This record gives sequence, C-alpha cells and structure tokens, in this order.
Amino acid sequence: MTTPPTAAGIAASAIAAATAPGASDTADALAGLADVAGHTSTLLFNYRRDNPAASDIDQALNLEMTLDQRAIDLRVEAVKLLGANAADALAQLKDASQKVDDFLAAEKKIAGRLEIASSVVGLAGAALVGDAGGILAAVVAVHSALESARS
Amino acid sequence: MPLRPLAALAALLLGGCAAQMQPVADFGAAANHLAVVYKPFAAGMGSSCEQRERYVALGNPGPFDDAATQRAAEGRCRPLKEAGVTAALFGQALSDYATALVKVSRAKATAFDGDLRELSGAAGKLDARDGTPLFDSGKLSAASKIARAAAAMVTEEKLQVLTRATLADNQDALKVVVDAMTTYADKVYAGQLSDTRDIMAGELGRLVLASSASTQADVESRLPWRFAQAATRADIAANDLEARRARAFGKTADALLAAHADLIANFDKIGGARRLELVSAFVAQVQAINDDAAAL
Repeated sequence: MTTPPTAAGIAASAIAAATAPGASDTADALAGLADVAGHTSTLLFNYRRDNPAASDIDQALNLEMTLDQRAIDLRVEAVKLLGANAADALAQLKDASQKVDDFLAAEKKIAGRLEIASSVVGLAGAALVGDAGGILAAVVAVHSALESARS
Repeated sequence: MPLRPLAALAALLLGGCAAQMQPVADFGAAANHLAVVYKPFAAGMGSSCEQRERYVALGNPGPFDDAATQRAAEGRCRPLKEAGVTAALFGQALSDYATALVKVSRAKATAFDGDLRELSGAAGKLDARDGTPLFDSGKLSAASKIARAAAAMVTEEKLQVLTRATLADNQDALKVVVDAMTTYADKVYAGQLSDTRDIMAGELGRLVLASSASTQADVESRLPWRFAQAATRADIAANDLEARRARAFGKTADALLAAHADLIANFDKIGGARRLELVSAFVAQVQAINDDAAAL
C-alpha cells in the first residue's frame, strides 16, 4: 500500500529537485576528490620510499594502491548523485576534499595520514556509488579522522 | 540575360558574402586551432597514468622487469585510455564543425589557415560509439549533432548559404561539446598530470640524494643515478608544459562559446565577432607555451 503524498513531502521533493546538483558541478567535485585520492596516494608512496623499515608499510601500500584505483575510477565515472540531499552531499564532499588536502599539506605524522587515507578511500567509494546518504556518512567519517589526527 | 553578366553578378554577390562572412571564417579557424591544441590531451591521459605507474613501480621492492611493469601499467590505466579515445572524437567533432564553417563562409581565414584539413568524418565514429561514463549518451549526441551539421554544410556547400539559423541550431550542442572537452582537459587530465608530476618530483629528489658521493672513489657507483636525473627532469618539464596547455584550454571555453553566440547575434554585421579577441589571446598563449617547449 502506498502512502498518500503530503504537502510537506511534495514541497521537500520540489526543493530537492530544484537544488539537485548539475552534471558539471558533480563532475568538478569528483575530479577534485580524484585529485585528493591521488595526492594522498603519493604521500603514502613517499612514506614507503623514505621509511622502508616502518612497521605499517604494508598498510600504507594497501591504502596507496586502493587510492590509485579510486582516483582512476573517479576520473572515468560520471556519477549522478541521488537522494534528497544530493546538493548538500556534493557541497560537503567538496568541503571535505579541501580539508583533507589542507591537512595533508600541513600534517607530517604518518599515523594521522593513514587514518585520513582510510577515510578518503571510504569517501571515494561512497561518491562512486552516488548515494547522498552514503556520501554524508563518509564525510562524517572524514571529519572524525581529521579531528582524531589533530588531537 | 547573357551568361557573362550573370557570372559577374554571381561573383559580385559571392565577394560581398565573403566580406560579410569573414568573422565566421576567423571563428572557424580559431575553433579548429583549439581542436588541434586539444588533440594530444586525448592520448595523454592514459600515457600520463602509465608513466605514473612506471615511476611507482621503480620505487617498489621485489623483482623488476621493465616490460612487465609497462604491461601492468597499461592494464591499470586502460579505463583512462578508453575515455581518451572518446575524448578525441569530441575534438574531431569540434574540428569538423569549425572547418565546415570556414568552407561555407567562402572566406579565407586571417589566421591558422594552415591548420585546416578535410573533415574527419567524426559523425560516423560517434554514432558507432557507446556512451562511456565520462562521456555519456547526451554528450555523444551533442558531438554527433555538430559533426553531422558539419558534414551537411560541406556536402551542400555549393547550394547552401550559411544562415544564422544554422549557427543557432548548433549553439547548445556546441556548448555541451566544449564543456565536456573543458572538463576533460582542465579538471580530469590536469589532475592526472599533477598526480604523475608529484611522483616524478619525489623520485627526482631521491635520485639527487643518491647521486651524492662523499669521495672520488664513490663517484663511479653513483653515475647511474646522476645520469638518470636528466631523464626524470625532462619528464617533469614535459609534464609541466602539458599541464599549462590543459589549464589554458580550460580558460578559453567560455570565450569560444561567447564568440559563437556573438556570431549569431551579429550575423548581419561585419564586425560581429568582437569576442574573438579572447579566443585569439588564448591561441597566442598556447603558441607561447609551444615556443617554450621548442626552446627546451
């Protein structure tokens, strides 16, 4: 049995449709996230090269290879963001990408970087699926990782 | 009426038409030049990805076989290479449209005349291509539309006079095509180039460190690292030039579309395409980059 539409529901749908991100905005955001994935991967590669005896070298390698693949996927996929909060998800995704880039540029401790790298893998995966709810959850994970790495 | 006066009248009319169509010819030549600049970007995406993979492999532990590394890099970067094949067709569609405008204008372009070639037949290739995620079916349709318009203009060149409606009919499709090319060049390709550059720059730093010899006796063993620096620096310089071209291309898309819109708005006026100055400025910028490359 289907629920009859309500005025609030119709209004929410109309607002969501009116603010749905365009293909160009989405492509720009995904290209930006691909850049962050690639940048993070490069930092992990440099870490491995400069610290060959580090205990977490295998973890760094796994993350690096996953991020490389995510960067390629993000560059060839034209994802259509779905869900009522698509515009918000896109804005949050762009904001999180920028924050990660800023953090990685300043943070030199590898522990923090590995945690952030893991959260970027999650965000890239959610972006490729295209579900706004999944992206927002992954953004929260990125912010938590940033917080934790700063403390 | 005798034939000779008729021919003279036709020549007079055509001459007048050529003067009026000069902005169309100049726009077409400039747009075609942009397509020429864009052409290497298509194959460059996969190549840059492979180059990055090879540099990463050089820094990994374990056995190393150059040929196997190349094969692995090709496999990993194949999706980008396939996207590049479709990206190339967008450039061809723009080139065909631009070339057709020059031909139909019956005027000689004042610049970039040497870039003009025959149509590539991009329409047929686009129609045979499935949509890829990056270049979806809507974008493919737009590219196919301007390529078909180009073919029709050239096929009917002797019969058809270019009309404002022809340009107006293709403005939206042209925007889709140029936007897609811009996203590809300025965002996606530029990002890939940056990733590759970062890896190469890190490796160059290590080569410099490894080249240091504290005594004369150590020099011999450091020679491979010292020689390898030059090749890495050349790779980085080539990457930098390509990145400059890609960014410059991205900046000109709006100017190109504005010039096309101006042609439509001022179709009946000789000085209609004033925004061509913006396109010309871009072309001069790219020429300067090419001059830098030639000087290396």
